[in-house]
Amino acid sequence: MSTKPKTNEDKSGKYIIDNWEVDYSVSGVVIGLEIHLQLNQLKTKLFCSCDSEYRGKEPNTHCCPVCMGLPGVLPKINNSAVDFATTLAISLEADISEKQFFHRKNYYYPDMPKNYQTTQYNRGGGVPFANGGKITIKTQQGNSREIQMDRMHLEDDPGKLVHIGTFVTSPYTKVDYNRCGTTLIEMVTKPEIYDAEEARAFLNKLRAIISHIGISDIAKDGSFRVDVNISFENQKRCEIKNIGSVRDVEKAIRWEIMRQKLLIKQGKMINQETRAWNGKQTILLRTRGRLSVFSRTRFSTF
Amino acid sequence: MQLWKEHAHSVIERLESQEITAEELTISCFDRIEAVEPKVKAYISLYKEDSLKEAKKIDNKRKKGEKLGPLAGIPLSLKANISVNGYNNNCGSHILEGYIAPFDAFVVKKLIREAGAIFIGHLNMDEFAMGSSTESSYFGNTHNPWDLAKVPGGSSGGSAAAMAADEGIMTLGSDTGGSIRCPASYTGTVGIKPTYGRNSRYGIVAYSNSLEQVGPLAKCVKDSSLMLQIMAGYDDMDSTSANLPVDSYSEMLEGGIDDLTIGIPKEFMTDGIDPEIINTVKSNISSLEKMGAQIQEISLPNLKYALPTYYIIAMSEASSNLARYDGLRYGYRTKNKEKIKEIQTRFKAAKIPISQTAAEFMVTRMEGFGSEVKRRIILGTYALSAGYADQYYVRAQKVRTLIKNDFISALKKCDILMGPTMPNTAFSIGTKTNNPMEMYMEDILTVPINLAAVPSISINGGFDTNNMPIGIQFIGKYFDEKTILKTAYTLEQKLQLFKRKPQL
Repeated sequence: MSTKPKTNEDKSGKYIIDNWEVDYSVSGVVIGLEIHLQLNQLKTKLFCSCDSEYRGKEPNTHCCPVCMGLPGVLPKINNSAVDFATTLAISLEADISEKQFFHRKNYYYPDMPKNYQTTQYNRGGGVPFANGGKITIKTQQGNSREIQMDRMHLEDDPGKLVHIGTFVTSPYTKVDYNRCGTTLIEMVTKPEIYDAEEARAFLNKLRAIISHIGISDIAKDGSFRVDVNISFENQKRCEIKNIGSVRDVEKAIRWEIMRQKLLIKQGKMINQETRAWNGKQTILLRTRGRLSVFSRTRFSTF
Repeated sequence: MQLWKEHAHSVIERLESQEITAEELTISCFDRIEAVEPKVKAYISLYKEDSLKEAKKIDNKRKKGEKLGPLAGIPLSLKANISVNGYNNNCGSHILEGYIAPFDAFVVKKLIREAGAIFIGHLNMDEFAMGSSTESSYFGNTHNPWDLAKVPGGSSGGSAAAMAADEGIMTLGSDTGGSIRCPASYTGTVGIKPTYGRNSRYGIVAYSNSLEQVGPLAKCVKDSSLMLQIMAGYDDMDSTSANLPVDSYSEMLEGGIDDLTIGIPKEFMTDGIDPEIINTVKSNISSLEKMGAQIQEISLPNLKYALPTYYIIAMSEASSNLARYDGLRYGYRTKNKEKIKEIQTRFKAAKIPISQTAAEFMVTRMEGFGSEVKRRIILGTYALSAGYADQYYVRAQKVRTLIKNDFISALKKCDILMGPTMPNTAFSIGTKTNNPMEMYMEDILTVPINLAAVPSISINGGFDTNNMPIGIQFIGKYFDEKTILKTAYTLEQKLQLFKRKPQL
């Protein structure tokens, strides 16, 4: 399974990795996964009755005053979305919260017409849809091991920015709000995964469960997206955002372990970074502290 | 025929018996509006043609003997934050210039589409309902009909001024921290803030979701109860509206107030309140006592925390609610390319390069919002930002529960509470605009009611030596609007102050 990477530079050009023999049985590395699952088997969006199937549709035809956040509208929870989330929570043996809350994650972005995301995740110690849960996987040694889940919650997906060519070269940006307001479930594992194989086994098992209970057709493009958090002992954590397939998750973890190990070997500290996987390597998106000032509030408190 | 002088409940019979037509009534209202509007400036927009068309339609239906709604043919004016399909509800703000609502608010559906009231225009208000004087409106000041140099109160100042000046038959306002009751008090009109959840907020442009309610602002208690019984009720589009039966309030007003226990919160009768107002409240208390009510002094010990609690919650929610106005999809959008460039350069100099879109959002909001709105957005964003939310917003929510519990326990001992609505009568235009704290202090007796989410009504209780109206406030138990309406009606009938009108 081991690969020999070629010379590469990341955006800042700081590190060069050349022919680094990877030792996968590294100790001291912990991995946590964050999974965004689209509930694409729902007929309508999370807070309104618009058709939630946005793929292949004329742009901006599946919108209404509610998902467009026009002045004066109010959200109304989709009961089926709660049912789907409940089914998933039971399948993972998670504890469903008796009282459910939504919060607002406030930040400005053109694909989000209200300029906040309505989510159950509240950094200030809010109540998620469900706490805990677990998935049992088989390790490479043939033992079975339980991977504990931290929490899961419901939230709405933003719209889509459409560019001509790439983000940088496009003369203008178009916005398609058909996806805006569709339902996502975010699941977060405890940092209890120790290598790429375990991550793969975990994700495959999770996908099997999701397919079996029928809450989402994960074969659809963009339905199952993973963020990976990797950190070594006494080091800062790096996050690799938005990976689309299990195979890529596995590759990205391998690459990132290698990158961080090299840095540590050189006596450097790992920066807290957000990175992306481009199919070959992880690249720097931003270091912590930039563009991440969110504020949160509850709505409809009673 | 001076039909504009009429109240809703009195014109209903005349319309039904076809003694008068809806068209005559609407024309009469517009005659009055055209005569006094230059002095009062209560309206932002008027739709004479559309409303006369509607009136004719209703008259035709009536002639044919078709079944009509209970308010058929009666002109209704709305605060400018209430959405009517096809009309611009600009909330008194520049930033919603040109925005046309593509849907009806629930209360519009009820009062206009179902009950048959005729929408005649949108009324002036403080920008996004933020203020107690209607001075923060982008469309200029509204003047108090009792003294044109004074404010009509706010934020539903246009609604209240229109009622006091007889510019229309009935109006709706919205109340987040006193925005219906304050102007009702300053203009001698009747305003009710229903229990939170009594009616749907769908279509009312949000300022502070957990506090605000829409309610009638009318010439008398009977009209208010008529409107409330039609607009109240459950709405599938507002998850916070209560699925509870609505009484026929207008038929439950008579019968007196025997056996009623009225609590007087001592915190409402303290030094900060104008002595003339205290005296008026006291004389009304003794009138009610003579009519058979039991009077009891009670205490709301956490009332002193109400004002800061209110402003933290309201500003926090406002900062989030107003985030959507960025000019990208609707409303005002800046064309000031130089300013956009300048902002980009300034951010670049601070080593935070931003996109043209982000700079455009900033300039649009800089130019689109007035200073009071900006002040509240900035303070609210600060109170919600990472690391501060627990100290401010979350703590304010906890204090809110304490205040709520004060009201719940007081209303276990009494049927209703009573006190002044405002600490003073209407003040002169321009005297408080430069001192926001003084302006916020105006709300000291109204915000606790919104925090506790109980219903409250303000009616005219008398006049001060300058001939300015003094508001009296009745506060009821959750969803018990009928008791405060009945008490207010009993006092109103005794005082007969609605017969006194400002000279215009």
